[in-house]
Amino acid sequence: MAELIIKDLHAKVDDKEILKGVNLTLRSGETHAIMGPNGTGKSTLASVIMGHPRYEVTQGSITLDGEDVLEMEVDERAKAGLFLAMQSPQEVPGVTNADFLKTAVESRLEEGENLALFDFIKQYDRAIDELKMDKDVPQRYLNDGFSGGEKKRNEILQMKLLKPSIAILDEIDSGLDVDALKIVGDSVSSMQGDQLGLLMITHYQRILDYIKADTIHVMMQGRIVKTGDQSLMQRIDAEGYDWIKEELGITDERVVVETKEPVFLNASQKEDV
Amino acid sequence: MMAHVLDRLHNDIQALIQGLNNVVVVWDGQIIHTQLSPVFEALSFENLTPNDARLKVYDATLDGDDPAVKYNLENRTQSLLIRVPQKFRSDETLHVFYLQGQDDQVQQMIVHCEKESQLNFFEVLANHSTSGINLLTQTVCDDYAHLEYRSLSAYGKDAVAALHRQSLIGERAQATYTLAVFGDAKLTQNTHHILSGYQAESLLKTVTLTSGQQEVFIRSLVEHRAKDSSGNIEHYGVANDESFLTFEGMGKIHKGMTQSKAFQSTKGVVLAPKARLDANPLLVIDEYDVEAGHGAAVGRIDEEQLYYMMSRGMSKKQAERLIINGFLAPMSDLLVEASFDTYLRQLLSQKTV
Repeated sequence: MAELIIKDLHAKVDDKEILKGVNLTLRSGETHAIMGPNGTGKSTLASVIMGHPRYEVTQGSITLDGEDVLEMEVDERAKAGLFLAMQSPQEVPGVTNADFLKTAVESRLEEGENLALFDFIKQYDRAIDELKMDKDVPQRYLNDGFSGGEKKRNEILQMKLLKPSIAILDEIDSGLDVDALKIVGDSVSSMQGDQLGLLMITHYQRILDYIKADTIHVMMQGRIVKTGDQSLMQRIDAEGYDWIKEELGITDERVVVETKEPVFLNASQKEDV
Repeated sequence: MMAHVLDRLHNDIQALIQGLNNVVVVWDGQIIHTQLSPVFEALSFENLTPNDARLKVYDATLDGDDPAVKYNLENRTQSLLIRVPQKFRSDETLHVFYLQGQDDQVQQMIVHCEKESQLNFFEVLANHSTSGINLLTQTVCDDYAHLEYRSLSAYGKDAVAALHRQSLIGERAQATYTLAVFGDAKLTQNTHHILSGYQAESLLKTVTLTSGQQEVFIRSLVEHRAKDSSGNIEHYGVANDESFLTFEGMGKIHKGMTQSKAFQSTKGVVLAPKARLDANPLLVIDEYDVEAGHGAAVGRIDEEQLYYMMSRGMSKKQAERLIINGFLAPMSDLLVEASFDTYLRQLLSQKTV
């Protein structure tokens, strides 16, 4: 039973505060969705939970089963059970998907324990089949030359093999056509259960047709402004976000103003924050 | 008996040799061990004295103004001449170990591939004591000959090495060089490919990993002395600790050598704040009707890539190791035999700790 607790989380990037007091509790067995327009801090929240070096937490806490996540390095967070399916997965030419995934799986083993290579390969092949990916994926370089859809499938494939206790899917639906959306959706649904706490970050409800969420949050101005059940999602789908802004007296929901582009570690990696 | 002869070699080199077929071991200028499959019996291996008349024709092609060449011509103690007869073909690889034992090593090796022959050649260079090394290796590809030349130099910290290589490439002949410089020695490698025949082709690839306070200078020159000839220079480098690695590449097309192609690329990663990696690409072209270009990408390991990989549970070191291995992927050409895999991995991990 895993429990991720986020309390009053504030974070900034380049002296610009993006998260302004996020509160969220996610337990295994639950699926939450964070919705909201562009530029409200959704992806920043995902990056801060995983520990992206660009973001600085200025206030608040994140704990996983009582352990202080903010004290952990990125790899320690992963080994503690966190997983982030990224919005724009990195391309790493020269490193094959198989070597990458094998190293990732091995890193979770106890000292002296060896990877059961045959089981690993079998699981890998099965996951490739299930996600309808090319047979040569293991030998290809990590996300190198992958289409947007292939990259997203590759994230889910990694999740399947790494078996996290808390997984965050950051706009897993973007760049997927209808068929791919169904494949990815079905694959994620099949992982839902007592062992997994799932946090979906999305603009649209369409992915939530395949992956059922029990709790819906709406994020604006760097914090969660509304929480509800399926009916909240349906109303957003039908009416958009304006009624929420009106209800809460918000005129500009964004924290990231688009004219002021944030500086990235690598200029070619632009993500929606 | 054989095992006895090889006892003096470092254990890792011994292990390497035992895993290979078709091996010639040259120790301080003497051939001490030969193990060849019948197909290679067609080749001739001759140990020549420095004044042997047969060397004149090869010496004449060298640039005598180059200090390292000049020193070699004046001081060499031994020359090994390997001749590959016309129309020789084999998919097997000939491995030559050039090992320094006690003295400074000033030697020459010539591989002459006669018309329409084809050879896979692999050399391993290592030292066993403190020494200065000046090694001159020449290859000649007569018309229509194909040479696949691979080299692994693993000189230790106690050596200072100057490697001068030359290849003369004839009409429609091809020379492909993959040179891995993986030792800890201060080293200069100067490679000169001369495209001397119509449609001659050269691919000159060097993969280097430097560490400690090592200084390595790699110079690759491809000279087009014939029409429609093509040359490709590729440099791959990783500089660690406080080491200093320089790549200098030059494509030179002489006047009248139309339709020639001269390309080069350099890719490098700098691992430590005090390490340095310089890339100097040059094109010297005296003809209009040619294609030429160069590109260089040198930098630190991408932080975003590290973050991505660490987010799957591997440590920063493990992620860096994978990226470096990927960077040195061109050296996979050297891993044709399994025993090199172990040996190279060991060298690699020592230098990227």
